[in-house]
Amino acid sequence: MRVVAISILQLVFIPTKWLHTPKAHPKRDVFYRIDKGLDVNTKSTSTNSFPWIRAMLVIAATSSALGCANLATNSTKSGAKGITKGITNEAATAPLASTGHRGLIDDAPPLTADKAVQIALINNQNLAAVYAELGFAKAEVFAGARIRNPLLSFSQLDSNAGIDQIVWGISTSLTDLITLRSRKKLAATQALAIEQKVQAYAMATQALTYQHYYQYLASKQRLQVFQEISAISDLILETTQRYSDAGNVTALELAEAKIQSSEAKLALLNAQAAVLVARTEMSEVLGVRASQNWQIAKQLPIPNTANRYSTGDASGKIPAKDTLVQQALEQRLDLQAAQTKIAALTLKLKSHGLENKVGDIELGAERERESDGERLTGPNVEWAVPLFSQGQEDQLKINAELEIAQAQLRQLVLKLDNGIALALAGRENSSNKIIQYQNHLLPAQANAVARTQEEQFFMLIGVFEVLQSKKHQYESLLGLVDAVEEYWLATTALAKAVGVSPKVFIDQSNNGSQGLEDYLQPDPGTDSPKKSHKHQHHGMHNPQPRPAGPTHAKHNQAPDNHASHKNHTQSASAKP
Amino acid sequence: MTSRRNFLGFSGMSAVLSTVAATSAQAKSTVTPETNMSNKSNKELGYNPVRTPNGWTLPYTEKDGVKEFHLIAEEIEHEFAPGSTAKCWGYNGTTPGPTIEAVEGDRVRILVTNSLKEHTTVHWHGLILPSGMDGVGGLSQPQIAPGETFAYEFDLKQNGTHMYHPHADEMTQMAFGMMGMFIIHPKEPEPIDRDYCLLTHNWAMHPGTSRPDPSVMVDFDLWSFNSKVFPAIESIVARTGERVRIRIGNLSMWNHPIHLHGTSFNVTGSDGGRWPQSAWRSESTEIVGVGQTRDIEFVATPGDWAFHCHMSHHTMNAMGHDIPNPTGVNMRGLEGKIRDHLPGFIAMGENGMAEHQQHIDAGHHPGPANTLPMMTGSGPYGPIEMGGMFTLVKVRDDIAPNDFSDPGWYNPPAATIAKRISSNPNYGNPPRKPESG
Ligand SMILES: [Cu+2]
Repeated sequence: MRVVAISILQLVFIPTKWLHTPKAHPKRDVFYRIDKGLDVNTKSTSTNSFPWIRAMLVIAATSSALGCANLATNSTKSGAKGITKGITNEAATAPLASTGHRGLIDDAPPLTADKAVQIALINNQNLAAVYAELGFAKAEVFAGARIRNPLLSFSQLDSNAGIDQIVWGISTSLTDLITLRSRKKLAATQALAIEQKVQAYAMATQALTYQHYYQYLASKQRLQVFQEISAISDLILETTQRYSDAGNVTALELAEAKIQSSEAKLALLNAQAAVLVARTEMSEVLGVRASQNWQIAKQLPIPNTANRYSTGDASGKIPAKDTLVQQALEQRLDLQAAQTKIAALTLKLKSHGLENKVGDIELGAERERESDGERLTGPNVEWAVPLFSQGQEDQLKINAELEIAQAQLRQLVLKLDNGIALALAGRENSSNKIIQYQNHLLPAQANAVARTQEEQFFMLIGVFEVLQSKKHQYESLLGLVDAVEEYWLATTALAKAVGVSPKVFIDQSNNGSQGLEDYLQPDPGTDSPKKSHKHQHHGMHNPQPRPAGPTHAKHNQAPDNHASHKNHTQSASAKP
Repeated sequence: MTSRRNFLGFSGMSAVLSTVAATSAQAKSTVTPETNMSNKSNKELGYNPVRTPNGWTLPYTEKDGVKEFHLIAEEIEHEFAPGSTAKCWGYNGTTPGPTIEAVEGDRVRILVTNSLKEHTTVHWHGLILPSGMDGVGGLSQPQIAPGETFAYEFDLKQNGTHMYHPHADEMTQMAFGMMGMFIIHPKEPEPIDRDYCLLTHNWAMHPGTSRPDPSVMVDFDLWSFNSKVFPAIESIVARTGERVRIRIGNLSMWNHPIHLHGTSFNVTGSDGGRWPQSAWRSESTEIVGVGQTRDIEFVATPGDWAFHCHMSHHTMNAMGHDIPNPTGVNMRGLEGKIRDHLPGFIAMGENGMAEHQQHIDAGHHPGPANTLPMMTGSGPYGPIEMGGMFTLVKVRDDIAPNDFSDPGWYNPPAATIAKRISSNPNYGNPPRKPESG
């Protein structure tokens, strides 16, 4: 009995080293096995602990942040316990930035996407909940791998002779002992599957952070453009009002200008609302309040045209699709979790088979003190002969679970392939749009504005056409913001599909130094016919500007001085 | 082969030289020394030749008593004034085509070579001639296909101021500049000292483009005398007391009330020749209708006199005819805000358009490529603020008979110039019409 009891104590805790022992991983088999219907054997199950290590490395490598690397290390060494605990404690106060990151949020410079990821990995409340679930799940797994506690029995039978018969007995399940080995393996595998799932969630949280970072940034840039559109629409209205005051435009024209101004204001209000929504969504990913004083960058970086969507293995560019798919098959943590789950179910199936074939055997010992004082001691055996039931219903259930898991894995692989293809196509498509904006539409529009100004200066058209031309130019910037946002979201989606941090691809995207600001600033080279023209041109020729001209004081000049520009001797018509 | 430049150089028509030299580089001259009219004096010619400002006269050869001219229809590069050039169509390298000059009773043969890429014809506008020589494509003759040369031959049975132009795809070909003057002198010399001819036209030369737009019917950009616009139109020069005739033809799409300052001229003729004096009219403005010609005569009086169409938009260069009216619009405080978005923006015209030329002349704000500012030109006292069909009649006391060169600005006796007597806005007490009760 002593021996038995010790074994039980040992079994309650599964040595954590089982979870992390690296073994040779037949990675090339992964896809093959998926195709073969995922006939996962013991060997491949145990090797699934390798990607676990690998996942940590991916996170450590792709997040330059220490906090992130620490996270991986912590959860490796002690499960998710430490993090879960910390977050649970904070949850009592509020979903705020943890003390360690408060400075980062409240005072620090605007968040980069990278810093946002660090905060999200610590603070994201969904992630915290998933970590907490890990505790439950592991408990259940461990419970499944134990030997049932021995049954201690005591009975006292009254006898009419006045001396009671007392029976002491102890029994335990022999079946548990027989299946112990396979159940231990099962438990380890199930635990691994859960940990992989949690890590996959952490990886997904990274991608989610990037996604909301770019969405929030894009919404802010859109707001900036709408501010300009509204400003110019107001100028159109104000100018129309001046023309109306002079009696030179109709009530209809004034009403139309009011419509334009009002519509632009409504669009501006919508843009403001969109910023608020995007900020709130991002705050939830970060696990901080939207109302807190945190900021992100001001400029949505426009990716560099040269490297923008090129694929291929050379020179740090984003690899070709097949390479990325292969990479994803090796790296995706959710894929590994799904594979491990299949392995666990396969083990479970085997383990159940064994139990059911053996039937339930109870081994025990009894000590009996008869009423006459005689003491009897001896073993007993109880066996539930697996005659009528061999646990087929459980087998069927596990089998079905296995089939579901296998189908889910196949779906995951399909989505992975499609996801990479779609994200790559999205990058290329949005890149082409950016090129179209940067190299064609926006220069053409700047040119159009400049030419419109020339025509206005020659009194071929009026001020309103100039203002409309500028407004149109601003409106096109909305499309540029959309395209750039699409590009970064596609890049994030690509990283998610491959199973790496978006930072990897974002660095490879070779961020251009250009941002929207470059386009919002009027370009003196194209917009203004003369560079560095500060409108003091008459001052240069005319030391005494006419004081009387109230409206055009800067432009007006005394006719006498003005004449100094000209050839006094002959008009052009006079030259023979 | 002698180039037209050489030919004209010999001819002594020095004033025409600069204009023609510009076109001779493009035009292939067919002029030979034998055709050099300059060898002939007015007496030999039997008439006082007409002068085509900015243009030229087509030489001819005599062949068996027939005066043979040779026109070639072709695409040309034309300058309306410095800053505005275009691909136009013309004859013998120019628009208008060279002036054809002959004498009543002459038999003329006019060869027409078509160097365009579509067919053409030439209609001799106002001439009395056989139906088959009238030049209406498809009606009086088959069209002259590209590369072909047709010969027209007829007797000149009248005198007067006439024109020629295509009558095949006429709308397009005329819009591109294909037209010229056809002057027939009477057998008996006329008492005219200086005889000028001008052909009016309009051009849809949209600012920034380089080819006339033939689809435009009324809203033209440039209005021209002899396909030039102010300030590139040569002045009409005369000596005090000379009898000057200006023949004006109109192949544009508008009527032009032609106005001469400083004199009362007589309207003395048309394509019907010089009218009997009893039919002359004393005018200061004469409308030359589309398709009409008018001759005006006057005795030159000293000064610089404006000579122009009186449709005020016809004395403007390219301008917007549909712009929001800026007059009276106070843009104070707003101009700067607009400039924040549009550097260089200037609100113009609150107090009238005169400031426009000041801005333009300051040169800080170029306009569109290949066009001309609405108002331009400078005189001795300031901006002239004109364009289009505007030129000057310059009369001086000391001009030599064959001198057509520009004499510069007129220098009037000091006492005869309008002068400022006050800068006080409330000066004097100008009567205003009393309020009606
Ligand atoms: Cu006119």
